[in-house]
Amino acid sequence: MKPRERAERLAHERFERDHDRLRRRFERVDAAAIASASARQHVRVAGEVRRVGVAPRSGVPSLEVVISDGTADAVAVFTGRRRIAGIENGRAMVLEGVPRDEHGRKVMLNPAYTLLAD
Amino acid sequence: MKTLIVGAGSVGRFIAEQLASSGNEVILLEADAAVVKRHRQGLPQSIRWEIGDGCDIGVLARSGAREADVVTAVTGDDEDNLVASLLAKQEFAVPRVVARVNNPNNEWMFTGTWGVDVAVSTPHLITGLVQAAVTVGSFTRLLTFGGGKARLAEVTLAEGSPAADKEIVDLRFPREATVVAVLRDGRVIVPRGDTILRTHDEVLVLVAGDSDAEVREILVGVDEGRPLVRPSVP
Repeated sequence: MKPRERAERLAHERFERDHDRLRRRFERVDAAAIASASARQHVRVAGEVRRVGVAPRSGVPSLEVVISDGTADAVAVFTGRRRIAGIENGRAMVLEGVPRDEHGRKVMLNPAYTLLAD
Repeated sequence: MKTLIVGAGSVGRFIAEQLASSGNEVILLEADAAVVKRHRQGLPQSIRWEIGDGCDIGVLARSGAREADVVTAVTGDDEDNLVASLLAKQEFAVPRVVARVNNPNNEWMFTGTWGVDVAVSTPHLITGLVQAAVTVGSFTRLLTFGGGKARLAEVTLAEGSPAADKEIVDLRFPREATVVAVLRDGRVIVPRGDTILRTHDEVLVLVAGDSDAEVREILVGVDEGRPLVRPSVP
C-alpha cells in the first residue's frame, strides 16, 4: 500500500470511529438525527459541540456553535452574543429551532438550547 | 412565488395588488378587521386575507409563514416591522425578508441581526431621487442593499465628463463596479462593452466594496467639489 493510501485509510478510520462514538453518545437522547432535519421544519436535535467561534453577521458579532451527532453537523447562531456560559467544546447540548440551508450548512438562528450533563 | 405581506396599509395593499396581478400567491395579514372589511372588495380576489397580529408566532404560522418564499413587513410601525422580520427569519427560516423603515433614524437596526435581508427606507430613497433630479454630473447613491455591501448609484453625464463619447470597455471600471443600465432620451439601453456613453446619459452603476471614489472619477472626473451623497446612518 502506498503511503498516501495508507494515510487516507487511517484518516477515514479515525473519522468513522469518532462518528460511532458520537452516535453512541446521542442514541439515547430524545432528539432527531441531525441528518434527518430538513430545512424550514421545526426540529429538536442533540449533539456534541465541535467548534465555538465568534463570526460577524451583518457587521454584528454573533456566536456560532457547531454541533455534531455523528450523522451530520448543525450550526447554531446566537446573534449579538460573544459567549454563552457552559457552551464549550465537547459539551453535549440539545437545540430546538428551525434550520435553514446556508451554503449547505444547517443553520439555526437563535435556537432554544439545553445543556446536557455528561 | 408565495409572499406574506404584514400590514394592509396603503403600502401593503399596493404591493399585494402588484404581486397578485403578476400571478404571485399573496397573503395579506392585517390586525384591524375594519381595514380588511373596507379594502377586501377593491383588491384582486386571488389575495388571501388573514386577520391577526403579525408579531404573533401563531398568527404568522396560520398565515403561511412556514412556506412563504418572501415575507415583507410594511406596517406603519418600525417596531412591529422588526419583530415580524425577526420571527419570520428565526422561527420560519424565510429565505427573504423585506422590511419597511418608517423613521429613517431607525434604519441602522434593519439588518440581519433582526432578520432583515432588505430594508427599504422611503425617506432615503426620496432624498436620493431628489438629488438625482437636481444634480447633473454628480454621483448619487439611490439604493443600498446587501446590508450596505452593494449600492446602486446614478450619474447624469455633464458636459465635459471624461466618460462622454467613450466605449464602456475603455473606461476600465474597477472589478466591483458594473454599469447596469443607461437611460438616454427616456429609453433604457442595456449596456455592453461597446456601448458608447453620451453627454446627458443617466448611467446606473452597481457598486460593491469601496470603489465609489474610483467610479466617480471615471464618470464625473476628479474635482467634483461636492461631498459624496451618503445616507446618514448613526
